[in-house]
Amino acid sequence: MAPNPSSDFMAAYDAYADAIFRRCYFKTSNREQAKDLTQQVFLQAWAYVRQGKVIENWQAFLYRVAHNLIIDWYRRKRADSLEVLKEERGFEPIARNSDPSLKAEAAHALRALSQLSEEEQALITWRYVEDLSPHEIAKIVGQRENVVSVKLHRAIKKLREILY
Amino acid sequence: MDQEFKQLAESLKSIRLTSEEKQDLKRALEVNLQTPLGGSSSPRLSFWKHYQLAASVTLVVILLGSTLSLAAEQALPGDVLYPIKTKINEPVVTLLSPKKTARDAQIIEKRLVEAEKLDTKGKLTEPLRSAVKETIVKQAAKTAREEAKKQKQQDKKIESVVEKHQKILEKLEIIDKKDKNTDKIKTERKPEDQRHLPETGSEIKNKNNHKK
Repeated sequence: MAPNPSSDFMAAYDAYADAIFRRCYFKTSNREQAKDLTQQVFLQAWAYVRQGKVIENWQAFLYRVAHNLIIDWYRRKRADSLEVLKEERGFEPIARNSDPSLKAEAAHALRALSQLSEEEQALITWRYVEDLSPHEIAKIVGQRENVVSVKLHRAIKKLREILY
Repeated sequence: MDQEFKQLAESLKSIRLTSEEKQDLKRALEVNLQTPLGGSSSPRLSFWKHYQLAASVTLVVILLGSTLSLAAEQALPGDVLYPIKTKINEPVVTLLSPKKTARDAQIIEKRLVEAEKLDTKGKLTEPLRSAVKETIVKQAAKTAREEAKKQKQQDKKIESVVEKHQKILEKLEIIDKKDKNTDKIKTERKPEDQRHLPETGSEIKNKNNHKK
């Protein structure tokens, strides 16, 4: 069957739009901004496909694009980097959410996650919120699976200490 | 995994696009899919359209600015566009002009011509007269200061050249032996090399009094 970029693209949208939105929301704490970034992610993905390029792993590709766009967004907000912001100004990428529609439990979860490093937050949300396997996460971050598993284990341990 | 941990994960999963939001985004993306290669009708402007818009706006601004600048050249003290003439046009030309002294003299002359035009029209009121006078005096004094500064710099350069090449200058009998007086060199200059400083305010006044 001949590849159909359009239908592949729309299928990827149906499958991953919520996950990408969540990722953007965790980083921006703003629903509208998250929607805007989500749209940009898919527009960039489509622009990539229109150049005749093939996306082997839509999930990994979309997360990488989202990551880059979030970084750009922070830079536009005059942020040096997520890590520098955290160190110098105590800025928490997932923090101080003022979304009134956000449930108390979710807000509590976000607050706990915000005390982890960016990488740890990403690993935990991918594993337990998006239900990705360590193998799938490894493809997104471009690391070996066992490295991802070790990091994940450490992140969970740290989160437990925060929660309990 | 602990129950609380599970609950936290579930609460985070509840953060998602509403079905309406998802459909809206999907529709916007579908429009993009229908656009032929090279075009884009997404809600966001394509890079090319941004570029075209920026170029058009820049061109309009430049054209408007040029028209205003040209119109301001004819303005006299008291006119609405006069500040554009004195505070934008003239400083820009002075900055770009390699011969600043000549330009400064032109500016002074311009002020005098403007005063004459106003006088002819009977519009040289007392406030305008004072303003024009002050401008001319200030410009002349500024030019004189700048000329004096340039002269000083020039003299310094000559001094250092003389010091550096003292021996050969003595041998060539351009300067007296052990005489570092640079005036000797200055007097060898032709009269047209002598700089003529613009008249100061008091000189203009005195001249006018003599005319009367």
